[in-house]
Amino acid sequence: MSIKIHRFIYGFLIFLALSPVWAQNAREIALVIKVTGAAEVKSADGQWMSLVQGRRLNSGDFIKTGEASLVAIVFTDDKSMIKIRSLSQIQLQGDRKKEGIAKRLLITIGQVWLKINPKGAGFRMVTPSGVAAVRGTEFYAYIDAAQTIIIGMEGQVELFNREGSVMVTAGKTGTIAPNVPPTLTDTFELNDWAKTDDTDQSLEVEFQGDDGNKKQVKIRYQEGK
Amino acid sequence: MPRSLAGCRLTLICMSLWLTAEGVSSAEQIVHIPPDSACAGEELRMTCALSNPLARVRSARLYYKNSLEENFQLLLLQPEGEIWTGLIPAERVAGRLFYYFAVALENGGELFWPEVTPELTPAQVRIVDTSAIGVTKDSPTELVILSPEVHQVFTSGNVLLALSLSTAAGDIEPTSVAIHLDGRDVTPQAAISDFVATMQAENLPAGAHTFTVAAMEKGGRRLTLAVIPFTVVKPEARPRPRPQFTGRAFAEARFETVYQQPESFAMSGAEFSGRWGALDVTGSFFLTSLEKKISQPRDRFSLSVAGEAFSLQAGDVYPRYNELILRGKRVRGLSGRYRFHALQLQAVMGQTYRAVETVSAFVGASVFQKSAGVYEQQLTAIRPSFFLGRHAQFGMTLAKMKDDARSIDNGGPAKDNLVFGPDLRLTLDRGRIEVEAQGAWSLLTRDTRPGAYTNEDIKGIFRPPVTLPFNPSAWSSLLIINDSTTPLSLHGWSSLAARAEVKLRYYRHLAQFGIKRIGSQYQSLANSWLRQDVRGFFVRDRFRLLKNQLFVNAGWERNADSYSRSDNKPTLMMNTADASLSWYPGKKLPHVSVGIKQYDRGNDITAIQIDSLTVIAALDTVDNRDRAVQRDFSLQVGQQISFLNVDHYLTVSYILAVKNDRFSGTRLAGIVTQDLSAHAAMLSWTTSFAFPLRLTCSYANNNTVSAGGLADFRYESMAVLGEYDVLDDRASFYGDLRLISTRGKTWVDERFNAQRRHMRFGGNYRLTRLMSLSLEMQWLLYSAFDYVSPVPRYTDHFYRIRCDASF
Repeated sequence: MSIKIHRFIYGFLIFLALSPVWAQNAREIALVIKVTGAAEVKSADGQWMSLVQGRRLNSGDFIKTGEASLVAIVFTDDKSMIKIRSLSQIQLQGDRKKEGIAKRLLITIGQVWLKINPKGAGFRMVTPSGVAAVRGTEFYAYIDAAQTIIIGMEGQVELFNREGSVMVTAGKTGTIAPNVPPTLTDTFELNDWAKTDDTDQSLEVEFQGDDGNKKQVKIRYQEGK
Repeated sequence: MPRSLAGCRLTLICMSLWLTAEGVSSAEQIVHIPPDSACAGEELRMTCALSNPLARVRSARLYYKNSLEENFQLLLLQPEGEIWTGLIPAERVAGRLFYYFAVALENGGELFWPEVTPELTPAQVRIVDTSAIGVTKDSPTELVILSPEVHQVFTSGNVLLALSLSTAAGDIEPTSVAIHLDGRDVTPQAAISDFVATMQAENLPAGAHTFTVAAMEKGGRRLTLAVIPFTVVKPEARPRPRPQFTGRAFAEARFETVYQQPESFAMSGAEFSGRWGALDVTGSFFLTSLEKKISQPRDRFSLSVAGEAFSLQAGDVYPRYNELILRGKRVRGLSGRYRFHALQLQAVMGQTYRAVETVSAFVGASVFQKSAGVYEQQLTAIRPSFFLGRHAQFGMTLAKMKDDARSIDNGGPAKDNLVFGPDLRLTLDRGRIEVEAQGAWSLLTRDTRPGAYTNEDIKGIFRPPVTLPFNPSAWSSLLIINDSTTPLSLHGWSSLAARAEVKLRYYRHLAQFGIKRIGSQYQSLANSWLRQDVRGFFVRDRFRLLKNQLFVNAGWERNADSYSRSDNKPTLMMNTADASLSWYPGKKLPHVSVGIKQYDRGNDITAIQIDSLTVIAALDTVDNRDRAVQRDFSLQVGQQISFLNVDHYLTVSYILAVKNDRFSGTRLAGIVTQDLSAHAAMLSWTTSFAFPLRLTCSYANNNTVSAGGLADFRYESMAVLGEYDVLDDRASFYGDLRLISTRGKTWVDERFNAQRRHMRFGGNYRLTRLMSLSLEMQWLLYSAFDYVSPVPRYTDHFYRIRCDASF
């Protein structure tokens, strides 16, 4: 795919992301099925309020998570799921179509795990560094202002910005930063936190003694502020 | 209404029409959404509520039984806000579940769901036996369950149950969603929108749980049931323990003056149900100061203990073994059931009537009887039955009823009755086909006072002599046989009764077919209301259309009365055809009910019979010709509207009844024809204001012309009813005023004109969450004009105080 086409798509998606149409035209596109720790939600024209299990999310709703928190969201049409980790900020957008909800996730900062149903009406994740077009897959995403890291677990994610695109698949890690072409490397480190819903950041180290027995030590740590 | 006309047929007809009009005026009814299905062996939560209640609920009861049980079980419902709920025990949820609701109101009214003959035509719930039909708890479903996942493990007792209603595969009809948690219907607690249905389960105990969802597509197609098992391993808190026993009690005193006769009486009662270990225990009593030894019992009491294989009831019991023999007769005694694998034995023994002595009085030198005495009557019945799996049951009932001729000093003939017969119940195709059949044969001795005859006595009765193959006196403990015993001959099977009924449930239809034949000499004293000497059949179908918005009901029944002609009466043929259509399109459009009914009756007599009576040397004319057709038409339209931010409910009803006597033109002078024409109209307007006031205004009139225009009856009624709740619904007050006027003439040109003003005021105060106090006062002012009445003006008074408590 040429760079011009990518630029066009990127610009079009950014336009759509900013369009109020996306923010207003669909109700109850997702449902909060789990909240651990502190998390808040704000509708497009409302006030921040505590996020609780069972909350129905409309297109345009913002969510932010506090420390040591985790929020699990499921989309109501195809059961696509997002787990949002601590200190994240996102906005959900969706447009109901005949084939389901065309979904959009805007993330400015944070860590998320996504499992997207490939039969859905489409999923885009928009970050400050670029866009991830998801074609039915499972992946982790780490986002801040400087870069976006996508770790593929299953299926394919196309990661692109104005400078180019890469296809992230299982076992690969894609990185994208503003004004820099995306890169693709092998995944060499993975904390599969979504499987355990572990809200702490931890590191597991395996030791083998002289007698051949193996022992695991789990070290929990907190990033410096 | 003039009391001398109370028994007048014309008045009865008019009153029945008026009552019908009154009945259709009220929007008060039980609201219940039947669960589409339930999981076998899991508790089933049943709920109901009242729409537009005109009085507070005194008690709400659920009667249920499964297809393996004979009698309905009682479950007292508990209030949860506006909803009344109860749990059907898991072990009862098997086969096919039948149930109906009964709600008693403080104003004395009683509501049922289903509204018509609930005990005979109860609602049904399909029980899903997951092991039997191959639907495992892991079965794939077309429903998109958002939460929980199959076999998901939760470390908290707070679990979100969620279902998607709008998917790429299609949209789901929100009103069709039925959500069950561990077999309990939790749909009322769920939040259901066009896109998603959620229910937050809180404080679930540790252990395995099941989330079950049933729903239909908007196109009407029912989707595969979703059964999602999940586990809670660490509950956050123990659930609130369910009370072992629940029940209700009341005490009431009334002070009345009716037709210038003052009377005061009191009554109290209680009913409870609960579990005691592995046993279900229910009990009730009702006591009234009107209980007197010179009349039949008015007090009631009962205690029932039931386990999985047995049940035992003491007190006033209402056994129902065979529709022809024993069908809910009150028996004061003992009743029980024991089941051992495929065999079941039921038995009942007790008193059906108690002895009441004949009361005589002297007027001068003459003695006249003020009231006829009643012998004490004992009933003993036994019914062994055999189950063929879950789908068939065959039983044989033997019942004996006998008057104790020594129980009173002065009485008429004492009876002895022996009845036996088989019955069969069969369900096929997962309960879609139901067959029910009963037969019975009776022996009745109409007077036991001569005692049992010997074979020699019998020989002397008949010419030529009849010899019985047994000595009747040897069987006197079973039945006293003498010349009043019927039948002594089996010829003609006149003491045989049989009936059969088939129900088919296919394609949203409930089709019913039935036949019956009751012999002229068939008599079961335990079912004395059964009409004799009648045979006939019926066909009926009920079905729903347009996503359950349209209900259609149609039927035809044909009976032949006095078909045996054993009493020389002509056979009377009666055909009844009816059809009704009810449309409930939702709140935005009016609901409409239309019904038509035609009664056609007649005998084969076409001529007037003229006899010459030599005694008085005159001609006597008897006109037994009977050929008449009556057609009824009813229309009811109701609409809920919102005007000035206030909800209104408007109901308009019209009833027309026309009866044509085919021989009216040839009836002789002085013989009243059966011609009748009646019109009844009714208008009702209920307004529910934003503040807790509800106001109902109604108007009804009726004009009936009968006896070929000789009799005329006109009736008008206007009523205003107001209800007001205060103190956050802790207290409520109500009052109504009714003005009723009647006027007209009888066929002998006796004119009448009467008015009745009826005022009622009352209130209810909730003393605690479980106790309330009610007061009510009524005055009925009666005035008669243009009519010779012993008391042209009088006032009836009613005062009532009542206390209700739940526990």
